[in-house]
Amino acid sequence: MPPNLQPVFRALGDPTRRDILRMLGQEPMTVAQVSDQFDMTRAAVKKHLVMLSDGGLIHVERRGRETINSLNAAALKPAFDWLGWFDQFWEDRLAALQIAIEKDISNDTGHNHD
Amino acid sequence: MTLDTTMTDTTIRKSVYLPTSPERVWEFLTKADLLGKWFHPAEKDLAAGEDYLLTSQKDGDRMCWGTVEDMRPHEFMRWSFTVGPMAGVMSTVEWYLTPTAGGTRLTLEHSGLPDNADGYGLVLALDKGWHGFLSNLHDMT
Repeated sequence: MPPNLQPVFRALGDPTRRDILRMLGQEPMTVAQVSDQFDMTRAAVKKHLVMLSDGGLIHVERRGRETINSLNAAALKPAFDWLGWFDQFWEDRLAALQIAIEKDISNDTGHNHD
Repeated sequence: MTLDTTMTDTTIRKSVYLPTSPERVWEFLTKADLLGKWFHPAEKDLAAGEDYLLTSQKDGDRMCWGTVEDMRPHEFMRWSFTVGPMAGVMSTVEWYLTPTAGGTRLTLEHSGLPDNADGYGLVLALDKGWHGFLSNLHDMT
């Protein structure tokens, strides 16, 4: 069974989160340090960090009163292994084909009733 | 959901059951406008021996392209296939259509994929070539 990459892709599917990943790739950062880099509230930044954490793309570690976020580069590997990536790609395309064909059939039925 | 999935080191194989004739499924695989309903619109209808190009509906960017290497109408088609981030590496996509009771079993086989890629380097490339794919993924969230 291929790994479920959906949470990983969801985490990557936003430019702000990709920017955060790039920054954490340079060095681990606290929430405050990440927030300083963006023109948005700390709560909004925190939400992005939770998505990244849910996708397994970052490690979150409490150190006293601070939370340190760091990149988990290993989690990116399956998402950017071509097989894993295309597996998801074709899964989505074939699901879209099924929907398109179902629509096509119900349209035909509609015409018959006209 | 696909019926079954096989992933080996270099090949992805997926089958899906479609409740319509192989002739109609074939049109969805080869007609420019019908490809746009589930994949990306093609420049023109696909023809044996000719190049094809699928472009993004959103911004007209090149998404997938290659050559239709072989066609046996309503049964089989083979493409050479690439996408932008593969940096010119071609792979092979084969489509098999089999009539079943009340419909068609469509099997996709994608082989000859690059072994691997530097994951972090690709993340850096995300904002350039990958936006079209990622926006598709984004739509699902």
